[in-house]
Amino acid sequence: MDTNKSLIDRIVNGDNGAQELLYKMFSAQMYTVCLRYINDKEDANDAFQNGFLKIFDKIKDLRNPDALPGWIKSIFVNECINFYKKWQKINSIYVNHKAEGIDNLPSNYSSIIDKLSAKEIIKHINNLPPQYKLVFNLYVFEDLKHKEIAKKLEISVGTSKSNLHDARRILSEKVTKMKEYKGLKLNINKGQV
Amino acid sequence: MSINYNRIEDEMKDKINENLISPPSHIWSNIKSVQLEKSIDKEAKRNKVFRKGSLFLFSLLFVSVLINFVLLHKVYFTDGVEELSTNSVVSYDKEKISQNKPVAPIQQMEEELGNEKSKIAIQNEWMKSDFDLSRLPSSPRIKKVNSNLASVNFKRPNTANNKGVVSFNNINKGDKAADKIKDLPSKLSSESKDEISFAKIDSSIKLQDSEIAIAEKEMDSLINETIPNDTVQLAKNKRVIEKHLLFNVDLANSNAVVSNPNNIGLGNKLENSFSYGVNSQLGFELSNRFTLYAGLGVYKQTLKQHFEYDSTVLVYESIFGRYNNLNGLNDDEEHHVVNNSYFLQIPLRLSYKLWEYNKFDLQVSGGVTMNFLLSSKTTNSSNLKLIEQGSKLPSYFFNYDVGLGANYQLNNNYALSISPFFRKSLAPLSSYKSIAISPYSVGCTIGIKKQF
Repeated sequence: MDTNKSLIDRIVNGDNGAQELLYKMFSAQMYTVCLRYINDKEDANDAFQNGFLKIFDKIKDLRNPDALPGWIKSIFVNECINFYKKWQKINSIYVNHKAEGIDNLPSNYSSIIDKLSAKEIIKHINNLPPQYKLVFNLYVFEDLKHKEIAKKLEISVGTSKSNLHDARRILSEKVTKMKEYKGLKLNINKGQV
Repeated sequence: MSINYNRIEDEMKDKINENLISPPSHIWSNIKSVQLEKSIDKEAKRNKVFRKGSLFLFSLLFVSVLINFVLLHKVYFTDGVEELSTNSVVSYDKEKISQNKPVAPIQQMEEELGNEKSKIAIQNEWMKSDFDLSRLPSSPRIKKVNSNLASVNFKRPNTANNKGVVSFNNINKGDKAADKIKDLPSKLSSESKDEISFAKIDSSIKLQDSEIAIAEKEMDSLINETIPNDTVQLAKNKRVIEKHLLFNVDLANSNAVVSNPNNIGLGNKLENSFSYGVNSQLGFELSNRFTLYAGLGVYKQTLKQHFEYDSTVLVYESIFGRYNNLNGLNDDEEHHVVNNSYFLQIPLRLSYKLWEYNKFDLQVSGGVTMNFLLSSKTTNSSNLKLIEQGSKLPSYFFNYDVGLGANYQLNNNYALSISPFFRKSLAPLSSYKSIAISPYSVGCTIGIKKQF
């Protein structure tokens, strides 16, 4: 199996097979990243495609082959963030949004999450307002600190914290409601209502 | 109640990571199509730049040649003024020439011209078109003695020296123009002198008073303006532009500006090395001070880099590539990688004459050189094995150069030229690991200038 170093060398030398191998290695993981950030599938496809084009273009500049997976992920995350910056959706949507949610989570919140599929979780995350979604993704999935998030999104640390808090509340509300709705649907089907 | 978000979110994360979603299959083909498109665009853009650059250079060369051969070649042999020259073109008997009669030697021509009093000037174009120069016993050739004198050189049969030059010698500031003009007929009639005016070929011609008056006026102004040391051209109103050919040897110390050298290790730096080249350039004197040069040459550029040893990975890193240290060489030893490249050069530059005194003149010059890479080879001093190709020089690029020039006139035909210069690529030449290389040379051009 190709090590990162030899894989990079082959790509830099224009080996198409190596490009395809890299694509196969990381495509599912990175596509999932794009879907976490971008709601619209076509837009997510575009970001995903641009991300790989950027990788093939810039891989010659990668100094440390061991950092390949992290480097690839950072390119996709930046691509997704740039998608929002490009369309200036963050501010316009964020300003008009009033955070809602529930303060008291059901005790079985954890088990509710456990019963959701990956696609459903992604869908719920994606339904968050853009800036909440960005902060939530960066904090939870990219393991960034608030200071790093603030720098990346050009917001204050306080805003980042508050966004995360609101994102969690909204997410919990949506998930809970979904659960209740599903439960209701289930009961209707069983003729209990 | 207290919510342990971290735990719940870790669960989300795990679930998503365990259930990755594959992208639609068409995306990979899209990526390949875009890549192909980009590479085609890049190639097309490169070709476009190349074509435009070439077109620009060749246009300049063409214009230069056009100026020279259409405009500049209209060297009028007037030793009168504009008003005189209108009626003063030598009307040699074209009919005789067309009948293929042997063209008379100079003396015979003098007789045939008879008492034509308006034969003051010969237009070079007319000579070329109507005279078969090859059939003259000695081929007259248009020549410039210096920036102020247009002359014709020809061989005079039956004379010791066999040479004739249109010239007005020993004219100094303060001389009376009238004396020189009036002196002309006797000067021309002197057999012992090789100086003869082709225009005033008939020694019996006496200039009319009105002609002398105009010529005096013109000559006075010339004498008082820019008097050459020993000659003066009487016809100021006729533009004469010199051509000359330079044969140069460039000797230079070459190096390069390297950006982001840390990208390949430990601050590798290029060392000074010797480069050289030869070229020839045609110079068109656009005015007394400006000269346009265009030419062709070959240049060998050497770039030398000291290796910095990276003990962590057992490789030597350089701008030109990564080398495997199979032999276990010591870092204490000196290791170098050397790149030798040969270029075909097309220089185009403009020089401005700052100062002129006796046989010396001093100039500043600047211009652009187009370089075509003929060959490039990189070697290392320690037989290390190349494991990754580094910077490659492009197949063509542009340099700019600025310099000073000093000329020493050896005689009427030749001058010695010495020009210190600084030359640098217009744009960085390489993109290896974000390292940009801009080669430059500091050197001296030593050449011989041959005047026509």
